[in-house]
Order: sequence, then structure tokens, then C-alpha cells
Amino acid sequence: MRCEECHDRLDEMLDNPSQVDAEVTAHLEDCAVCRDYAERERDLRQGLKAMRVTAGSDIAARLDAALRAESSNIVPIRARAPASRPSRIVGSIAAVLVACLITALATWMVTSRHDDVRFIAHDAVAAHLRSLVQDNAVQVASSESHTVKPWFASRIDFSPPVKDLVTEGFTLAGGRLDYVASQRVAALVYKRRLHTVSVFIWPKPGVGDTAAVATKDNGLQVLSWAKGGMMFAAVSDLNEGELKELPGLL
Amino acid sequence: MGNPDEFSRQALPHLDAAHNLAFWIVRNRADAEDVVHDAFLRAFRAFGSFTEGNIRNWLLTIVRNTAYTAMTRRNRGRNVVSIEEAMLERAEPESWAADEHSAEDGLILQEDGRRVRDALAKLAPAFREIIVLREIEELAYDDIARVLGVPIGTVMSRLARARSQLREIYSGRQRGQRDAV
Repeated sequence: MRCEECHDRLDEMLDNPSQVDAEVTAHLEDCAVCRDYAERERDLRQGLKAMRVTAGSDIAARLDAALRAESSNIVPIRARAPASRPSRIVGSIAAVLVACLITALATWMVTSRHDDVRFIAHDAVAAHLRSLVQDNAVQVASSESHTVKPWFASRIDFSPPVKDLVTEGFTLAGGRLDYVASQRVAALVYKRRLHTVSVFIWPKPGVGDTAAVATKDNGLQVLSWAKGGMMFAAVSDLNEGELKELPGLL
Repeated sequence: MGNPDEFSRQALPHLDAAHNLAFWIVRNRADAEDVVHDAFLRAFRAFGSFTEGNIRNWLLTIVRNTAYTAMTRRNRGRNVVSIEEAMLERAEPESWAADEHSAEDGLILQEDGRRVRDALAKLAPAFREIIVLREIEELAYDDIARVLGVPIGTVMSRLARARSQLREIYSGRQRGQRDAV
């Protein structure tokens, strides 16, 4: 028998001490090298047996206490362990979705503020005040509605109602183009005594008629209403009562 | 889950085996105790699902998993790439000075014993655990296969490689000492 084979079979023999391999035993008789090897191998295995690091005496007691605490507070492991991770992921996804929703809502609110009465009122007041600091508040000066209306026809793609309300106390001074609520609008300018009234008119498809809403901005009266598919915003330093006659007249 | 008395009756006889395996994986007495404690609590919680088979194998499997999880957590941040890589790497001698170890394991050993201990400590973890299971705990091959979750053929080949590495370290050291003398 070759020494290499002897080593392998010696391993097996040492693993199963009950099965004595006669050939190996015979080889060990003859071969001093293998005898030495076998001796060392036995020593090593014997030495390993002494390497057992046993538990300290207090572990069992601590464990017993922990087991009792655990069993009085029964939470099935199946219900607990696997639930935690997926629910955390679902939670994160939900949080992201909620954040998206809030962002979308905020964006929508900002963009839809074009319809907001206060937003329009602010625009209308700014346009009105701007027109007053100009030399001329009108681009077409006429008290004649048949002059003002055609002037608009060549400049905007809708036809605003233009009426001379001189008998009702509002004298038409003329018209101009302006910019309110993020679009080009028709502006009619009326005089009532020394007060100037700007009426901004623009189309809004599908809008139903609404009653006039009064707001105050910079001390100016603003009325906004819808009628016949058109949006109206009237601005003036007139008192609210007199200005409120306008929606019924236009 | 089961009742704690029944669990203790069946599991506690294997406490020393569990501790021994845990110690030789984490190589630190305090960590080994934590691992055993943790593993036995886990085993207790899952005791209801343990229906048949050898409870020692089942417990040692849980202890082993718990120990490697603890190691991974401990090594996180160090340069350990993966468990597999770490398992096949020889333990660096400086990671465990002999003096430190004797204080750790509490084994009272003669010169020969210290040599064996140092050789075992220097084995790669995958080899060390199989030597512990086979030589110290004296598990049969098929029990080792169940604990490690590998085929029995793998157990035999890994054991052979573990023994030859151990022999190499052990006799290398012995030769070195002879030379010194």
C-alpha cells in the first residue's frame, strides 16, 4: 500500500473506530513515516476534543427567564417577522404617492388661480391704475358704441358688448386692449362724474351667468361677474352701490 | 410556539454544543453567549413548526445562521466582501493573538493543547465549523450535511480539505518550534 492511500484510509478508520482496516494496520507496522503521521493525527484529534468551549452556567438560567417572558408575551413569529419589511416598503410608496398628490394639487391650485376672483381683481386693479397714469386711458376715444365695437373687431377674436349708458349715468369714454387673467381682454372706459370706471371683458367658454362678487383692492371697488359666456370685471373708485348698477346694464 | 418547559426539556441538553459552535464561529465568548441566547429564543418562537427530525441538528442550524448574521453585522464597515469569501479565507493570525484567545475561551491547556487551539483558530471559518461539528461535537456526516445545508458529498470533501489545512497549520507550527529548539 502506498503511503498516500494509507493516509486517506487512516482518516476513515479514525472516523469509525469500530471498523478496523487490516491493510492500514499492516502498513503502519511496516512504515515508520505513516506511523508517525498516524500518531500525530491521533494527537490532533485528541487535542481537538479538548477544544470544547461550553456555555457558562448562567446562560441556561438567563435563557429560561427569557423563554418565560417570551411565552407570556406571545407574538407568533410568522405574523411578526415577514410583515415588517413589506409594510415598510408599502409605507414608503404611499408616502411618495401622497407627496406627488400634494405637489399636483398645489400646482393645480396655482394654475387654477387664474379663475380666482381675487387674482382677477388684482389684475383688473393693476390694469385700471396703469391706464390712469397714462396720458390717455383709451386707445379709441368715442362715446359712440358703433365706433368702439368695430375697433375691437379687428383686434380681438371676440365681440364684447359695448353700450353707451349715458342715460343711466355712465358715459362711454372709449375702449382699449388690456391684459387681465393671463389673456388679452377688451377694456371699456366709462366716466361717471369725475370717476373713471374700467370694465374688462373676456370670453370664457361654458361659463354660466353668475351674480356680481364685490371685492376691495387698494381702496378700489372691484366687481366681477359672468354673463352670456363672458367674464366681466369692473374697477372704479366709485362707491359700491353705484358701481353695482353696472352688471345689470351691460 | 409551544410551552417553555417542553422546549427547555428538549433544547437545553444541547446548550453546550450550541455554545461551542457559536464560539468557534464568532470566536468571542460574549458574542457567542449572545448568539446562543438569540438563537434559542428564535428556536422557541418557531418551536411549533418543528415537528420531526433531530432537534440538535435543528438548533445547530439556527445557531449557525444566527452566528453568521452576527458576524456580518459586526464586520459591516470592515473590508469583508462576502460571507463566502470570508468563510474560505484563513483567519489572520494577528486577528487573534494566542494570549487573547486563552483569556477568551477559558480553556486550561498544556502546550500541546495550545498548539491545537491556535491551529483551529487559524482555519478558514468554513473549515473551522466543519471540524468543530465533526471532531468536537462528533456529528455524523449526514447530520453535518443537514446543519450546513449542503450535500453529504460536499461535507466529505470539505472535511478532507479542512483536515489537510489543519494538519498543515498544526505540523507547520510544530516543525517551526522544533527548529527553534
